[in-house]
Amino acid sequence: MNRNEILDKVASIIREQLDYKGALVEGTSFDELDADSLDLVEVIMAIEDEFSLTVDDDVVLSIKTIKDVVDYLESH
Amino acid sequence: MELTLIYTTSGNVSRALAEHFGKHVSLAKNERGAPYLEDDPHYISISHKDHRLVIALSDSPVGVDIERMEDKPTLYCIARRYFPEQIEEGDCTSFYRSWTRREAYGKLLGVGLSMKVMGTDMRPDCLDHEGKNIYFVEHQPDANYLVTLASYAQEVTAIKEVL
Repeated sequence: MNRNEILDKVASIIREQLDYKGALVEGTSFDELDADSLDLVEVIMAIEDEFSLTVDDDVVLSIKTIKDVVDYLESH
Repeated sequence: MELTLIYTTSGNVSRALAEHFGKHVSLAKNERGAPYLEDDPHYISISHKDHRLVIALSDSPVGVDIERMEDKPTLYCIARRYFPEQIEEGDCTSFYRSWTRREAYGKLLGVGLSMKVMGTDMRPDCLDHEGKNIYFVEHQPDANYLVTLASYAQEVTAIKEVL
């Protein structure tokens, strides 16, 4: 899966989890999406299910942007 | 500890602060992203969910969190993964109590949701943190929302404002 495909899949999950209909780019922060920490953890757990992996707990709590997520998925 | 809890459904921090103080008050963030008032000595903590905003203003450090309580299976997955205390399936109130305590505690300490905060048992109403007691107080502004405050003061004189 290339980076664009990862981004598309992540964006789709975020839209579903946060009921968000706007544009999403790598630079979008979860703050901009009005997502709090609980929302973020739920998004990451949905991403884990989709990509069949576990994100390190330290990483989960440090994620700020969609780019952070895509970077992690691309490298794991 | 004197505490003012501003609860509004307008979601606008600047406006809520201006209405409370009767003038514009500048809000800034420190190097850790924690908010503080530039021209006022009060400590401040802010939380929002949906369009609901809660602001805690106090003469001593305080942390606040608001969550909408909605029962869903992911809550219990999160609890099993991160919480040392057990949360029974279906007991979403206990989940949100634990979660909002963690958020408020993390904000009080100025560290946010660190792994150490996540791994702390939130069942006691008073926690020991490096020799200092931290107390939790809960409010339910309406049926579906829970607000939790964390502070170092056991006695809180709370003045609630609803804008």
